[in-house]
Amino acid sequence: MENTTNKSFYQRFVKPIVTHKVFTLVLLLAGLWIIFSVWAPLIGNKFFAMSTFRNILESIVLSSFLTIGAGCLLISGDIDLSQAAVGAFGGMVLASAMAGWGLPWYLGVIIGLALCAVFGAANALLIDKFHFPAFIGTLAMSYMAQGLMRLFSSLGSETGTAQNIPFQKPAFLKWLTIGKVWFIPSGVFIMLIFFIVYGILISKTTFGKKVMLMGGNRQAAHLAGINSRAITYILFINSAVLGGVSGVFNTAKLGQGQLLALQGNQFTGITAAILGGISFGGGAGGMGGAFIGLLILNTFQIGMTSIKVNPFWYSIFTGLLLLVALSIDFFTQIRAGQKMARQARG
Amino acid sequence: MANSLEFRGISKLYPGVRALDDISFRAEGGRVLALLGENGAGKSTLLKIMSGDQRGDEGELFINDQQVKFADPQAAISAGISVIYQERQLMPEMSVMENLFPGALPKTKLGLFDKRKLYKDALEIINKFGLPIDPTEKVARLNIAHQQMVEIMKAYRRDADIIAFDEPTAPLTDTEITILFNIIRELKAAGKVVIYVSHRMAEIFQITDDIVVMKDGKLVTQLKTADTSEAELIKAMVGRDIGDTYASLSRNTEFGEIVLDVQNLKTPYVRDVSFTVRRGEVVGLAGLVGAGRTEVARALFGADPVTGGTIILDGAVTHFKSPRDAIAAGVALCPEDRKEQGLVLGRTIKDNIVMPVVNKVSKYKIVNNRQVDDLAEEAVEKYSIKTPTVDKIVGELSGGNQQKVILGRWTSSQMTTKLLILDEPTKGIDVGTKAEIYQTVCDLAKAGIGVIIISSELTEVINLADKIIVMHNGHVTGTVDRANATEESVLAMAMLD
Amino acid sequence: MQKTSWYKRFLRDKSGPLLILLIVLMLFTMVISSGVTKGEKPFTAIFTDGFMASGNLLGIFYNLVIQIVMMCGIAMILIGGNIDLSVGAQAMLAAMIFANLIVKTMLPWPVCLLITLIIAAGFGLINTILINLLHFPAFIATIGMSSVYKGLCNVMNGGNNVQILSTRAQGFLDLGKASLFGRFPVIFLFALVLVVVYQFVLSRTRFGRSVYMSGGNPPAARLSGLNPNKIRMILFVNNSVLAAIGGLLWTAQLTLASPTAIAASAPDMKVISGSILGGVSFMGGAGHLGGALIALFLLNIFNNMLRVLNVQDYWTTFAAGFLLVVALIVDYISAERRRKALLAEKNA
Repeated sequence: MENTTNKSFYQRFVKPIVTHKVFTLVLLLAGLWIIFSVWAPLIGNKFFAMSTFRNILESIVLSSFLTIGAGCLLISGDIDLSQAAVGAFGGMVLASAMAGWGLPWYLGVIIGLALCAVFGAANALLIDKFHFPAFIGTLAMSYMAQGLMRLFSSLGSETGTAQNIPFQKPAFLKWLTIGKVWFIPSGVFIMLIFFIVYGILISKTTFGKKVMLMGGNRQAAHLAGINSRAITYILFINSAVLGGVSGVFNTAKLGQGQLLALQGNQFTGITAAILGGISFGGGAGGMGGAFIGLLILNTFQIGMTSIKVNPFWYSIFTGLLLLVALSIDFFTQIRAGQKMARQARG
Repeated sequence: MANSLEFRGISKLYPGVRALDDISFRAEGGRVLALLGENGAGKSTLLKIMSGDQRGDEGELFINDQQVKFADPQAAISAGISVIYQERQLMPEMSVMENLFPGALPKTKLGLFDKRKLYKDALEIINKFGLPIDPTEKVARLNIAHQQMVEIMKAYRRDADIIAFDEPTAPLTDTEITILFNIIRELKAAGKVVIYVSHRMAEIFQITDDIVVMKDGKLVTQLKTADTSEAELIKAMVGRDIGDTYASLSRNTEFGEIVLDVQNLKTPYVRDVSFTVRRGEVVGLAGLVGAGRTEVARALFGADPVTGGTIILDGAVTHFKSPRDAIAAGVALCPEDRKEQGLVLGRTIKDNIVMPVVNKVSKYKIVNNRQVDDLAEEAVEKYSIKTPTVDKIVGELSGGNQQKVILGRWTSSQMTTKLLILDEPTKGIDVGTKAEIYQTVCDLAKAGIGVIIISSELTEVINLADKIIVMHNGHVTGTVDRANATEESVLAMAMLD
Repeated sequence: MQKTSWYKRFLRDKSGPLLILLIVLMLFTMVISSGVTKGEKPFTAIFTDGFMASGNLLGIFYNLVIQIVMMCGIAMILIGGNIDLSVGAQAMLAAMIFANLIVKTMLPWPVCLLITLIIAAGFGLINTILINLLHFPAFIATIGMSSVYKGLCNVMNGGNNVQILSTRAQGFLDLGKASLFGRFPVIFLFALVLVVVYQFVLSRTRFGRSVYMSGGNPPAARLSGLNPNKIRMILFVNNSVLAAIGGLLWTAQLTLASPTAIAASAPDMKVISGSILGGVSFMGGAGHLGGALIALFLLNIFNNMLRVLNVQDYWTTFAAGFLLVVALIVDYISAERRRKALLAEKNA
């Protein structure tokens, strides 16, 4: 008892925060802000402003859903490379449903997300039942999703060929893109709600605990009675549906179902999640980290615009960031392994 | 110059266990040295270090009094070391001849791989061994004994000066064992260093000249085979105090009604397995490696499919489709491989304990952290797990404490375990903790739990279990009470054909 | 020395039934396609119109050649138990580098070609470093690098195509267009020779056998004294160089290098599905290039016929993924059957 009361202020409040993984990420983010804030004025631009912050937040809305889905899967030790393609497919279904078949928007959204869920279930089936390596199964699925997306785009068009499908935005979709909740843009508001809900789901609920343990050691989890098969299905469907949500946002934002929707986003979710401290091997990390990982990713992009770097460099940096994030993950794991060995010795 | 191999102060640390602790000894050419010890004593680890597969954390290795350092197995092979591993290192989809010469396929003058010569060379070795094996046959199509012989021939044909056998006879029949021993004698006559790992006493006395006894990663003693006896070796292997340990156990003597009744159990791996377990009874499953004990445990736990027979738990016929069902019905399994199958090494003690009961320590699906802490602290206290807090990462604990965490998981107040299956519960655990675990097993029996214990340490099963079921080659070959069980009688049944 | 004849092995091989299925599919579409174009006479029309018309066939050959070249690299990587998902991006970047060298320097084209191939070998080295030293899973390392390469392609010329108008490269462009007997492209011969040579390497050299061994059981290969890291490096470098050659052939055919086109056509996926359909095991250690070649050939004819049939392009994209899934399921089922048969044999 005495020990707890005698703990210093540092030990009680500062240490837990400072040693937390997310804290390092926040520092990194702050560092990026400082660099760009200093650099941008040198070439006659402005970076440090409320508007930049809002821009960043708005720019991550699309990929936030991908990040959440990818993050949950990564924590469980799996990976889904079909997310963006399935999402684009979902967005296209929405557009076709409204423009081609004249359905109301909510039916379009429901049908789109339901079809995405089918893709998720198919992914899980290939991996669980036929023991595909997750990356190749989902990669194959992403091609099927792309094909079907183009099919749907041709169904919605008059000529019968694949093309972008424009439609009249109903009020809700308008609100989704330009509306506000209090002073927060509606997209950002929804994104924050999603992060909070999934954050609680992963860190506080029994489901989250099971996902985490399963990611740490799937075989042990199975032998301890955790229904890893059901969780695999749930998480793959979740990933695909969240991809769909992202596709719906994209469609709503552009006012059309786009053939190239989410094309650059295939690895955004995975990169952000790993950058945010979710271990590639599974079993560690959380939504807070993923959120900050995403902020870092987009701060980087917007910051680069402010210092006038050719946008073609983005994809290079995204790829490099993914590899850097993985390296950090790799070295953290080595350190943890060494610590285990050291402690066991003593 | 005579061949020799010397270890000086070799140590190896793994997360959770000190696998080797300051091992020093010397093996001379022209003699066969037996490496003796129970499972987990560190014999295989020592072989892995000498074959360059792993590197020791401390110590040096000398060949012919020259210090050597191996970066990889290739380096060890070039230095003249050949190791026959317990886990066969074969490529099942490739032919026997290619498996015999994996790193050294013959070349033609043009530098191409010479199939004709390969066939001839392979046939020569096979004929020398006198085995009916076709060099072009796929290894996957051979029986296990012949696969093992391919592994042995592979090491033999390298013409290494130092050759080590890790439990080579486990899958072999008498015919092949005779062939193998002739080969070993030939190697010995050629002045090579032969290291022979086994726990079969008869073989040790038949073939070896020197004996090094290991226990818990330490070298216990080194002696000449001619100067020792089986009794002395067993004493050295098991440790002096172990007899007392068993004698001082406070056992359960009152058995309740039958909790588990297995009738003619059949799975893809075992057949005709029948036995019963009473409440409060400790039943041992004995047998050699590969006898099917673990497979029985997994089938009872719903982890492997059951293809025939009946399992009656507490009077009700059960059909577990997964471990989940089994746990819900009150069956628990501490698996053979703690690290791979038992624990989530990267997570905390409390997470590992709460694993099967996550749903029970929650309200509205939100985990109640206080309840989790209580549950974990209860286990830490009950089994005196050495840790400052329940938030410690399990991988940072010692092997014994890790095993206690698993025991804590299955016997927490949230569980209703009726039948506890312990598969090799003391593997890689130090003597002190072993005694604690033995007492724990007895305590659990006193609390009315039926316990099945699987162990490759014969002394352990014989002394701990109230009833011993002996298995061989996938089926039960005998049942004895503790009062009537001796190592010899059980071993005879375990090797019955 | 092999006692079973090749056709028996073919039928027992898991690729046998798959290839037969493909042939049936092909014949089926062939009949329909000739029916569509000619209206009435399905059989007689086959060789005059529709699918078998020679112009169409030539078109198939060009694309096929590029895929075959890439297949030689990727199939060997698969046999060695690895994967490279950056083939398309590497091909594209190599093409861009080559085109830029031609346009912006005064070097003769063979020198440009050599420089390009050396740089491409560097791509392979980078992949190997990530996998061998940093222990990244091969797929994620190569995916990450592929995104880097795609970006570099865009950065290089501001996202624009590079036209090769220079007459200095005429020899190179002619190489792509040269044909035998007026209709048989020389590069197709080149691709066939490549397959023969690589299969020879695989089955007849010590290196080739060690590729199978390290793919079939990596820890065993290591303990047998093979060096899996070195084998992996050779395979990846080889693959990158072949990918670059594929990209250059593309450039030769179109007289331009595009920073998006090759990767967008997803050659990685086609080549990997082709290999697996042709019997190359996804888990490594089994397969031969001949099977992969036939599978690629049939796949391309099949795809092309879909086009002749006026089937929309989206079905081709869909089919790429779908066929891969089918191939992998067959791969899994046959492995499972073998396992069960072995288990039954041991229990008996």
